[in-house]
Amino acid sequence: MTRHRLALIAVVLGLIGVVRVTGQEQKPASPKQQEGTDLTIYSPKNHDLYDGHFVLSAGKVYMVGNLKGGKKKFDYIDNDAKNTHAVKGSFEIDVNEVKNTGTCVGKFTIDNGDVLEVAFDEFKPSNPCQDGGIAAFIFEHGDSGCGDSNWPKTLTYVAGWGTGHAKLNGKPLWDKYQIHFMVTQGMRDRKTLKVKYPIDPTERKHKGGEVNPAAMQIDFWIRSPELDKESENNPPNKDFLHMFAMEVTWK
Amino acid sequence: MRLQHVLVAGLAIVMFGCSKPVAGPTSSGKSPATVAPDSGAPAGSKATSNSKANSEPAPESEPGTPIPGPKGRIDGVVKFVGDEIPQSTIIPNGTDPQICGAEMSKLDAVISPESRGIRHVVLWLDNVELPERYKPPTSHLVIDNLKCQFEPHAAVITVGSTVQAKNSDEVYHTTHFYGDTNENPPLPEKGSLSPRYKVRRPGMMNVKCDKHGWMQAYVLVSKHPFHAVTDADGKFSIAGVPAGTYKLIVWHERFLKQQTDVSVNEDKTTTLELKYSDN
Repeated sequence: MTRHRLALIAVVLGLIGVVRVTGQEQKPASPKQQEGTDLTIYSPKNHDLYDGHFVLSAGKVYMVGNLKGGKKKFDYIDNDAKNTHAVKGSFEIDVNEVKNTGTCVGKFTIDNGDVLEVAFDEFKPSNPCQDGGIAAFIFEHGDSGCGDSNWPKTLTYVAGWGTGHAKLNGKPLWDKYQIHFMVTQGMRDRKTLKVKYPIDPTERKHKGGEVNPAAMQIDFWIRSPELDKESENNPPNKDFLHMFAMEVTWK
Repeated sequence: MRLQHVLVAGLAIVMFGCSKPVAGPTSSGKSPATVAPDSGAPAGSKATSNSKANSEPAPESEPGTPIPGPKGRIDGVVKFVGDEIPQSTIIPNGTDPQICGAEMSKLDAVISPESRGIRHVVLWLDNVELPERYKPPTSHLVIDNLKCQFEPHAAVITVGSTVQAKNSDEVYHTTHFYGDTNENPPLPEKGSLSPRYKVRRPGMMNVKCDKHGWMQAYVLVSKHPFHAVTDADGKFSIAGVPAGTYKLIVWHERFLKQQTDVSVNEDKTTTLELKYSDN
């Protein structure tokens, strides 16, 4: 065999090696997996067109309990949807999660025709996961390490935390209260409005999945910063208003 | 990860030290916290759980209805097989980090590196024939919020028993008993103690702290006392079992559920080795 032929064989084998190594490292594209995506959808932080601007509207709104506070041992989370009733109105979200700016305002007609207005005054985090006051595409609640665990762990499309106020029939009701909204996957059943949480541990097939990725909802609450140690309500804040919306419109 | 049930088998059949049939149902092999003081566990029975500190006599504890007939016992171990021993999930924590810590463990894979035994596996017999109007022995279980974890992390009790929550931390906790009682007592400060709640329905109670997402405990409520929780070496023991053939359900929060058949013979010990693996 000539030196020429040996060199040619070496080059060919080398090229085959390169192709094979490259092929092993590259994941095949599929409807659920595309290049450069971590979550099987475009990851916003590394997308050129991501502007962090969310404009959404929440309709088909439900209120848990009433403004006077519930009876003893009242559950403002109401995963069982026992004390939930529909109210008229909507919650409008227009925020930029990169800049941590924007507005969140709700206006509702509640019991006896009273008009309740709720609004964010400031976006302010109380936990690093809240990413400056507005966060997008994070896992929240459950055992995620972000937020209380009285809700299931969910992919949150966008959420805000801070302080806000409420007015009743145009007059100040609450001020400098803690306030939160979150746009999540479907925690509540579309018909029963119940949260299936937690799923019976002995019946679970895998560790994830206590929300319905085919559905979406918006939750928001406003509450007094003070806890009432004598209260047996859940949560035991002096005041607590929780609403959720089953209809989410992206604008 | 899947549980691979490997029944190594009730072949190691050992004679009891006690040859007299046990008069009533027993609850050995369980947490001491779950054993009624007067439940009459037979000699040689071994409690293999992890909650001694929470044990306390309770006025609600009752011995239960005796189950006639010969009895045997099940001893066993649950081990992990595989190249790499799984570690518990660590959660980055922003809630009360000054008290709880910046990273918290879910305690969802507590496996001895030496013995490979898996802790916190819950086991129970599924198809025990019980006498008419049978009442199981009852006990009292205290779940402590200690160092921002629940203690015990896994426990077994019977229908009619009582549960109670306690806070040993300088931070606000709740102890949310999802399932039967659905109670969620707030425990605002160190020393806070909830009322006692009676459990009435069988099933697995998932216990969570509403404030701290990594805090979870599992309490199996059973119609009978033939159940156990594995200890730090994965060992368990169920004594006073009426002789017969049963389905043994094996459940772990991360490795999920499996079942195997087990035969219990009079005055004999059936020994099992159960395994979870990566396969």
